[in-house]
Amino acid sequence: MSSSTKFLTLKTCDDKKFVLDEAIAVRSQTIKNMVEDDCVSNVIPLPNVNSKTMTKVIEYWKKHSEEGVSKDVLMDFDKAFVKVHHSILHALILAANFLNDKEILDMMCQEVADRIKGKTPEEIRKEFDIKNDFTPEEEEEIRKENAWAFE
Amino acid sequence: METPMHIQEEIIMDILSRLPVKSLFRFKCVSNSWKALICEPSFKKQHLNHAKNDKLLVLRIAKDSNVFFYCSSLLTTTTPHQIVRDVQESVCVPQCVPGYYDIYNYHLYGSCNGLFLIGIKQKRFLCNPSTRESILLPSHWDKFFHGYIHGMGYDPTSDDYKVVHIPEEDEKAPTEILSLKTGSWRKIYGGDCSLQSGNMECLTLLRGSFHWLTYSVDSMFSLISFNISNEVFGGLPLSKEMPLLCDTIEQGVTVLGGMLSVNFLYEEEDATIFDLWVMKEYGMEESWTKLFTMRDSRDAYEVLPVVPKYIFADGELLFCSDRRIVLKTFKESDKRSNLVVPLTTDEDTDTTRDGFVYTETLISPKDCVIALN
Repeated sequence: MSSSTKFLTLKTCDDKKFVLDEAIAVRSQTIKNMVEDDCVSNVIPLPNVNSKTMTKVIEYWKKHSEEGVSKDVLMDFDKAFVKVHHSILHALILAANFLNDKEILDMMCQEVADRIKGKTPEEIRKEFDIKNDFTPEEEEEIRKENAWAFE
Repeated sequence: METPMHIQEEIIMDILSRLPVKSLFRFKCVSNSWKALICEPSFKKQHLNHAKNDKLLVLRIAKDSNVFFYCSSLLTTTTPHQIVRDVQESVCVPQCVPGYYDIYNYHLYGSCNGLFLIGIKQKRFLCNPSTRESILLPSHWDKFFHGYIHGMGYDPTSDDYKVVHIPEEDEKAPTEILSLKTGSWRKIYGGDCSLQSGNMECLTLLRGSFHWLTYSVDSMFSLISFNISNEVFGGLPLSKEMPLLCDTIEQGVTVLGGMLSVNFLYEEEDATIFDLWVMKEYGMEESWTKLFTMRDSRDAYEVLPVVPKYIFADGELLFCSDRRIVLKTFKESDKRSNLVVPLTTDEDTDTTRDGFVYTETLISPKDCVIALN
């Protein structure tokens, strides 16, 4: 590694510290902006990300920064990466959004889409904690209009 | 129980824009705000932009001459057997134009952004097979659709769907343009670019222009474009290695993987040859590349003539042939090469060659036509 390698220290909301090569950390547009604006002190606080989630994010960043990794290997890695528990998926979306990493956010949104596409409206309401604000008559009407979508 | 997700509306929109139309129609009854979001024009556009999941729409003609739509999704992993199974199990799309199914009076005038312009006898319909919506277009437009090859495209500068018809083998006849939004049509003279329709059902749209082959004065093919926004004709180079003398059996222009593509079926020294070319860089003569050739073999006899429909991410090609789907790879090692699968097992079925690759959309035909009366 060249002598010019710079390291950044990231601190998650549960006070864990991660020391990371700057070249890897700037995969996060948020961190990149901070570095470019020269407002990086010793430690970059990540108030919206916990250490468990950050570990996953760094695992992704490192894999995708490795030299000479084949496309197939990365595809298999990504496939395995998204197969996580619901709560981690949720945390990763929030983290990717905060860190402004389009690649991870994109992948996670696609994963959620794949998981929910076959669900019923009731299951969706539970999944996203949405209150059903239709009257039973209104809901019945919409269901009737779109009956084919419920087949 | 799972803990519910609390994420910003912007991300919810991103997730929803990746869903199939059917799921979104079901999710309209989740809540008022979801329903409003799904019906929002800007969301419909976002959804369309995401629609990577191209699908194949196959038109099948049943015994009693009725027209049916069937569709199958096209993924790299899709095998021809799967497409055929999807078609035979009549997955999804039923007739979106109720009441008018006679195949002999049926025409496809164009397709763009998941919308289809269909003519059945004297009636013209704009259909969205994904949402099962269709509207009858005003009857005074009938004259417009007579005896020409058509193309439908979206013009972003006027936010309007336009239908263009190009005269066939008559260079004196005008080109006509119909605006779906306003319902008005205009004639353009002096294009001198009549069309050799070959195996094209309708005009090919790429980069906001329609493309087709015409005869030039020296009986050679030339490639013509017509820009849908500024309504200007243009020419594009063909490769000198193509069979440019106009004695081909059939020819056509399509779009494959975002590239303009031409194909020729011709005879040479008693052999029948099918060549498929793509222009890798739009407008660059030297970027024409021969993608695929099929010549006198048992496979060729079994399927020719073919119409190229789709190129998969791994380079595999999908063709439609009479009553058959052909999935062909040019990677020699691939076991899937030369697969020819009959589309139906029904011997009484009329022949059909019209399969259309399209993208699902939430856009309603009603959104495109204002002047309906």
